[in-house]
Amino acid sequence: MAAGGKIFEKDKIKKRNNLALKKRARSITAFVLAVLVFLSLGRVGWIMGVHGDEYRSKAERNQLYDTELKAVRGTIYDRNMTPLVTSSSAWIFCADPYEIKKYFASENETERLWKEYVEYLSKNIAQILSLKKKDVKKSLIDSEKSYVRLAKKVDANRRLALDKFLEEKHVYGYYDSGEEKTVIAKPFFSYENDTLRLYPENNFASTIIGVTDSDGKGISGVEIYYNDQLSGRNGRQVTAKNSIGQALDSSYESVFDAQQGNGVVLTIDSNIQYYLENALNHALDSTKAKGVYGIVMEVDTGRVLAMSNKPDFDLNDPRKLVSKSARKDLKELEGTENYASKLTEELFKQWNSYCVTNNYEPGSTFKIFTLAAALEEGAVNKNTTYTCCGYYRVANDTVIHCANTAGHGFQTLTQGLMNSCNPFFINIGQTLGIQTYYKYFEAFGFTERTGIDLTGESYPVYHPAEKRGLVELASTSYGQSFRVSPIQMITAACAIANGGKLMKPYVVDGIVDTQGNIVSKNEPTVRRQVVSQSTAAQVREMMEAVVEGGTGKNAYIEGYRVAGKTATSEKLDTTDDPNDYIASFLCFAPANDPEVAVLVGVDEPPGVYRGGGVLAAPIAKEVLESTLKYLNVEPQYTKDELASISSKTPDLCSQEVYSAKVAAANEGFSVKIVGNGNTVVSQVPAAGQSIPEGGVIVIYTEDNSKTQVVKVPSFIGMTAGEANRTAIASGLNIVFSGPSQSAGAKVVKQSVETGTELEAGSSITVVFQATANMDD
Amino acid sequence: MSERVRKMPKASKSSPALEFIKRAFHTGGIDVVFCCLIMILFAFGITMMYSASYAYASAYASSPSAYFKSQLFYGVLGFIMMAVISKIDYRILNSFLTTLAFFGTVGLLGLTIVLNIGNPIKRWIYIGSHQFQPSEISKFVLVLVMAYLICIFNNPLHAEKGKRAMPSIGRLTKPEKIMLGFFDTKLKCTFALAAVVVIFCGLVMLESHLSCTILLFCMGVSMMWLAGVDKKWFVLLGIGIVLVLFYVVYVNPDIVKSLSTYGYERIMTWKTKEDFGKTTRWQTEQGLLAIGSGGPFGVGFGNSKQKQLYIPEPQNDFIFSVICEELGFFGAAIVVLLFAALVCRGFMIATKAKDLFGSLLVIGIMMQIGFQVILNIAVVTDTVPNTGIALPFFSYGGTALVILMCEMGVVLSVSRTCRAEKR
Repeated sequence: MAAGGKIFEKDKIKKRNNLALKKRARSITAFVLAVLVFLSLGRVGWIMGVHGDEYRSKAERNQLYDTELKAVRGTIYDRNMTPLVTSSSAWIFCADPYEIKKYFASENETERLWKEYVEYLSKNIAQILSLKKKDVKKSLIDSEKSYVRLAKKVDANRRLALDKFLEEKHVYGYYDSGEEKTVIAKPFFSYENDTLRLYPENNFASTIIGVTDSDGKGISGVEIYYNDQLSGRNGRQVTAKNSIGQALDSSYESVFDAQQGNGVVLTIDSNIQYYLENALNHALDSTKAKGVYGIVMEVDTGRVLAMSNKPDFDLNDPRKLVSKSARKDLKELEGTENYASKLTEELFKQWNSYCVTNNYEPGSTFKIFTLAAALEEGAVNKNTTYTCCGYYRVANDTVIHCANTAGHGFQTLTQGLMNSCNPFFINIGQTLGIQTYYKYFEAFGFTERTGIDLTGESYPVYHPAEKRGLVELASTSYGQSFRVSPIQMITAACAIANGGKLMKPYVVDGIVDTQGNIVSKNEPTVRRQVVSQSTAAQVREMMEAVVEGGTGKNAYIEGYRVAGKTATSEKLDTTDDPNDYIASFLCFAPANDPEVAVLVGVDEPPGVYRGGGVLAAPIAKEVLESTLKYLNVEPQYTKDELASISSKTPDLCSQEVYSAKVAAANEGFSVKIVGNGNTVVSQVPAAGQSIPEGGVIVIYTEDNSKTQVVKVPSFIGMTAGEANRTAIASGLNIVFSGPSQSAGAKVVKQSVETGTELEAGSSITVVFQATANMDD
Repeated sequence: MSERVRKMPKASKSSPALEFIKRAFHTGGIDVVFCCLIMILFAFGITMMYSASYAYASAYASSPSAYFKSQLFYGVLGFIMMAVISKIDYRILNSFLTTLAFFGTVGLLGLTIVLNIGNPIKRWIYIGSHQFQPSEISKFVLVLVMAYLICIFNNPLHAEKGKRAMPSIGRLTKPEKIMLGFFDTKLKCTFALAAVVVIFCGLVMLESHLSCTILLFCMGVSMMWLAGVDKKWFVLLGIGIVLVLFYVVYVNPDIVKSLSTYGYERIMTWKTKEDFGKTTRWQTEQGLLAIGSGGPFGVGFGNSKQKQLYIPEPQNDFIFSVICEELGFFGAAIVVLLFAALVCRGFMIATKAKDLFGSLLVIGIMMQIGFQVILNIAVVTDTVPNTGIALPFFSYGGTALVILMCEMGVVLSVSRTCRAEKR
């Protein structure tokens, strides 16, 4: 029993143990499995579900290197598709100062060798990149950084020079033991892509083109207005890299090519722009004025063919202040906290197109609009007369003086405009009345901006509706006491020139893609019909009279019917000096069917008081004449002009001397024979040259005969008759330009300088200018 | 089943050596499901390890497949070891061999500490150029020693309350009897078992191998639970752990600092999510980014970007994050479920084992794998501080893999007996 009991006991224990173990094994296994499956997978699911997006983007920020591929900026063309501004690829030059230092970490003379090497690098790099050595060294010595940009916009030539330097093995220092240390610099440097804007023309049309900032984004002119078109689309190169910056294989890489910006085609014609800038530069030199500006506009469309103001800035050095007064103002502010803001202000002033962003009191040129309004309303007609006694009394207590204080006396309407008589136009204004007058003031666009495609266009300043009294009306009638921009003036003048249509001016003709296909085109926009065609024609006729015999006679061009109006406006509210004024001239031609309008202004000319007819008209004439000829506008000569017209020389070469003489005589030229040969070997002037009718042609009959040479005499200050006699006496052919026949006209310019030796028979052009009765 | 069995096949009359060999090998079939699971885990593991190590090996090793080749070599070696060990009767371990293993391991751990005096991390010893972590082997030895002791203490452990233990059943060797005489009450046995756990944990902790300490602790406690130690102790232990953790993490973290700056750093970086020692937090963060990048189905095998040197040593402890990134939640679930299946199968083998010793060995080894996977995933998912613990079958490491395969061999050996006796 005992044994059996023991066995029973044993079985009991065995069973109990077995059961206990099973239970405990089951529970602990279940616990482990539960934790394993639910906790682990729960955590993983939680991280993926809740933080997934955050972690993924964070990881991608680490892994993906996004290199911007800079788009090449579009080209700016003139209207003949001549590129004015182009862009090319360039590079940003970067260095890794940390690596430079690290390179020497193992040397026992670390500090000294490293510093010597940085010095050496700085010197050479600064020299290649035309930087200051100090600045380069400051960047390279900062060994905390592993990335610094040493220079932007490194062009291909400089890159070549840099590469050459970086790839060479350099001995730059010695250990104290005398052992040489050589190193190749290349691994410490890298390039990133960049683009470079190239301005081969320097100042040319700089205020229209505008400047770009260091990132290549436009900040003024067409560059900013058409920035979206020009800038193109930057490309991207997305590369996956491992944690130490090595690119993973190319399956991780994706490249989005950069798209070059579209080209912008200006309405500016380089030739006309050149005529304008040339004339303005000369004018600035000769008048010593604070500034001169001018606009040439196509009257039918509102296209700006040329626009400039001088002095202007060089696109290659846009941050250099060109205005003397601005430099002076800035110098006073140096060191103060206002300096930076003033500098920015002045820079933008010089970058902006003066003709668009600047206001002035137009003065007498404005009379043509008063005139147009009155003619349109029927308040006056060609036969209207007025007697000027030197002043006008407005509203019985305000007296306004005429420029001619003695008074112009009895005048017809045309004479009133020719004399630029203030009282006459005040009278016209008063006759029209405030309401009617301002209707036209508004219609001509003087209360709104023109909407030209340039930034920063100024708003006009004028008497608000509730403050318009008779006195304000009076001064407005002759162009004072309000301010408009030059672009507004010429746009309004074009409305008279083109038969009453007020256009929207524009400087960009269209957008072209990189292949030159037209993407979009700016079409001429008629804002409204301001006056009727007949009114416009009448005003033009009277304006022509101004040039023929009035204050604008210095704008007279042989063969072209020029309509114009002078102005000498006071700068009443913008300057401290009461003597400051603006002389301007507004004209278009041909008067019967105008094609181009020109506005020229001379700002604050110093010295003797001279009006627009003296200062501005000759500049405008020079520009207008060149432009008309360039545009092949058919000349229309008057009978008087035909009498003194130049004609083309016939081809006399290889003819017998006798027949040459006859041929020349038939064309109305006389002949001077040099040598004893029988046939003509050469002639001066050559065939097809323009010389005055009845001029001399010198013919040479021997191969080796000495050419006859004459010294050019001075014609300056002569009247037409005197100049003619002098020329004949010296054996030269003379061509007249300007109002040679008007009273008191004198030569102011000659095409060949005094003392120059010329072949006998050569032509020389002299320019006349009238100075009498030019006050307006 | 729980009975101490020394019934080995009857020896024929030949030389004692031959007799030992004959007794030592048995013939039952192995558990095919368990074996398949091991093979699947190994194949899956080494494939993912190849992918995870590719970039790292490209950058730092002789060839992109250097780690793969090494792991494959140890894998093959491990399989051979597993096959051999599965043939050996595990019951030969229920003897003085375990005592030897215990003292050997304790000695080895102590030697490691002594050899590494002055090093901040003291867990490695070098044999030639080969480095080896004695703590790897200590995991198995702990299971072995605990199983051995539990078998000796079987009676006192299961004695009724207030009574002396029943006399031991089965034959004990003389030293075992002496020991049983000394530990004759349940309380004494409990303390004896706890002492073993404390010795192992203490030594490994002195090696600054925090994760292994935690793992050994979990395994030791599990073994004590299996031994039938009173539940009140576990309740007390649980409360104690919670209190200590709360105190250490939230009240006075400086106390850890005085014990181990290494542990302190790891705890603080985990708590504040800021980088103290730079590399530990960096690894965790990059691992998290990899997991987050995975999504439901991952970025595709071989396409992980975080393994491109972002995660330091992605083939080691953080391989799970690469799996998450490449195969997504789906892949992570497969990994976890494979381990769960392995543990389940192990449990089934244990319940069918011929004796208590076999059962305890198998469950102990399963606990080791289970807790190691849990801790690894917890580390990778930033659930617990980053302490450096490998994912079995997946993480790179030749010695660890071979030891693991040996343990699998032991499990298969146990499975052979239950199969063999069933027939």
